[in-house]
Amino acid sequence: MSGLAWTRVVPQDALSAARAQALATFDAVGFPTRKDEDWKYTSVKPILDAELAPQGDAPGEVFFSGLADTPYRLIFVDGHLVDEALPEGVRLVPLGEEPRLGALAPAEASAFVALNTASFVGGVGIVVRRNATVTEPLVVVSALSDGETAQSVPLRLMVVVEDGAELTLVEQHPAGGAGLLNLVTEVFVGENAQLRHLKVVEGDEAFHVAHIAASVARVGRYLLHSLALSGALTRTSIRVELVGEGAEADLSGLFLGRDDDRLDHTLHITHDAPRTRSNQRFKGILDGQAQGVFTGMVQMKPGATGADAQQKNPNLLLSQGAVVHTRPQLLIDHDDISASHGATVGQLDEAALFYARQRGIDADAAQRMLTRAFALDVLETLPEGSLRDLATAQVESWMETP
Amino acid sequence: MLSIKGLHASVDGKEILRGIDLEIGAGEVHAVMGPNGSGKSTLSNVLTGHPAYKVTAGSVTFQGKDLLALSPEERAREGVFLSFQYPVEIPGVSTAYFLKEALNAVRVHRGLPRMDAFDFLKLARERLKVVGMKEELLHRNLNQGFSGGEKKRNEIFQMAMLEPTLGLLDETDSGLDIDALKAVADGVNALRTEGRSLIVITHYQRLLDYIVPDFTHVLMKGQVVMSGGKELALELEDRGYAWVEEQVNA
Repeated sequence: MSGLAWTRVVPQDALSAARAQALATFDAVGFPTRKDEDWKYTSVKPILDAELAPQGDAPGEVFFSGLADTPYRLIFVDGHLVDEALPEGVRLVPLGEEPRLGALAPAEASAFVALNTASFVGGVGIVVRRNATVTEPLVVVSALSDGETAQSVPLRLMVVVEDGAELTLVEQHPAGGAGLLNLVTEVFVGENAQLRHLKVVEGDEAFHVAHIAASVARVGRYLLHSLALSGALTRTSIRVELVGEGAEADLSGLFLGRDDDRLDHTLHITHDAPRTRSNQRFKGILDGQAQGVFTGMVQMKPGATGADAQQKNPNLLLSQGAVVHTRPQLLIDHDDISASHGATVGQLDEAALFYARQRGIDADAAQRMLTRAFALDVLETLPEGSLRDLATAQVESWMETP
Repeated sequence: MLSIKGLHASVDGKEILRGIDLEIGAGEVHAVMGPNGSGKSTLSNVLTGHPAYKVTAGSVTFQGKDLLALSPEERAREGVFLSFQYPVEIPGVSTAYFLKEALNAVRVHRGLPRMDAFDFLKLARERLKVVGMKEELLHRNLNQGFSGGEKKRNEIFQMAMLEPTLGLLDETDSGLDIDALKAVADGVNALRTEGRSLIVITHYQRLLDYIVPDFTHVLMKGQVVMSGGKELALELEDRGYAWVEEQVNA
């Protein structure tokens, strides 16, 4: 069990009681197995076999670029906050004093949430003041170093967008590190508030296990765009509760895998209130021996009259060895709702490939053109400008990598 | 310019072309007519190298080259253009982007420099006029949401941009009303030059009122059973394909 020493780290601080309880929860349930519905297609064995060290006391060295034009940022290296610059209207709060910690992501949510709660140090709460409209994005970078010993890094974030406020959060996980990032983010979107959340995981050998739990109040909007670009194991679980009347969740994403990549998006959306709306649009492109998972569960509670839920998950397989598991699930307790879902798995359109070749475009270029079009279509939900350009550049850079 | 000799081809193991012989000279317009299932569309698919069609015998020489040895894209760059019966919709790729890629692939092959976006747009605006196509369609996804007439105009517009030596028009009249048909035919006629040959594949004679061929061939059961001038098309319209069958069997 020495390889799992990182699961026994419990800092002594104001949260000690909650930490001990979380660890007890973890000990009771253990790591998920393939019998766990939420982990049916994604094995955590590579993480358990990786002989990870517990999080170090200080950040290691990292190299990443692309932040030159970013006035507002929080930069975490190995889970330690190393740089911060906040826009007007946004403040940081320490999580040790935050009563809402764990309200959306209790230790029972998963083994990784329990371990995160038991062991995280130095996470932060990002609070956007009531009625503040923050126009510039706040960029949160979380990098892992590539030191001699790969660490298990628990990182805890909370984002509170108070009533009437608006924030764009860009969460970037640059490639080049090693180990495990166990990220838990609790998101509170207030009444008539909006959070746009772009999350980009540039995959590599490191494991990325993220759990986002959001709650959206009356006519609030949570707009998430999640890009998983390769990765030995990139798991993003997203839970959204639409608790206020007219609350909206617009969730879109792309998972692009090659070689032996393992990419998993697992979503649970709960409609608790009348006239709530949710939209999920995730696309997968898989090459080599890569495996993608999309689970999208929508639950309509009895109070959710006039609610609307849409879901789409088209996937493109570029090789014989690539696999995608797509599971749309709809749980409804009553009739007064509208919902639709569509999941498809296919290859590139042969007729379109031939059409392009008949015009003089060679087969490889035609394939790239069609694959790119399939992917970039999802990014059209992002507003035109720097955000869409950033996401487009990330996807194009993935496509150009052999 | 194009010489087809004893061409046999099959799809899904079923023989469709059973020995086609055709000689097309530079600048000539040949109509290929025939009933459904006679092999008309197979001929255009085989000439352009569609991977589903297998040539089992015969040869095709295009400007001295063995056409059948070339990939579909190489044939296109050498100057073979197909106006598709069913143009393909490509979501996420604009007409302009697609055609600029195609044009530059063809230009590079012909030893010309790549064209930048500015020059491309200038040329495109000029050629749009040939078929009376709206510029707005350039910026829409390729053929997506286009009407039947817009799709066919877009095919001829692409032909005007790529300037092929051999144009194959596969059922270009299908699904068009008379106004759209005239507009498309005007576009085709504007592209008739001394060096450019056309093969007009059609079930009905109607299109040939507007694109007047130099020669007419009748295809039946995968063979050319009758050839003549433009009057043959009119005679077919009068007498029907049954008459050809009688003549052939007689």
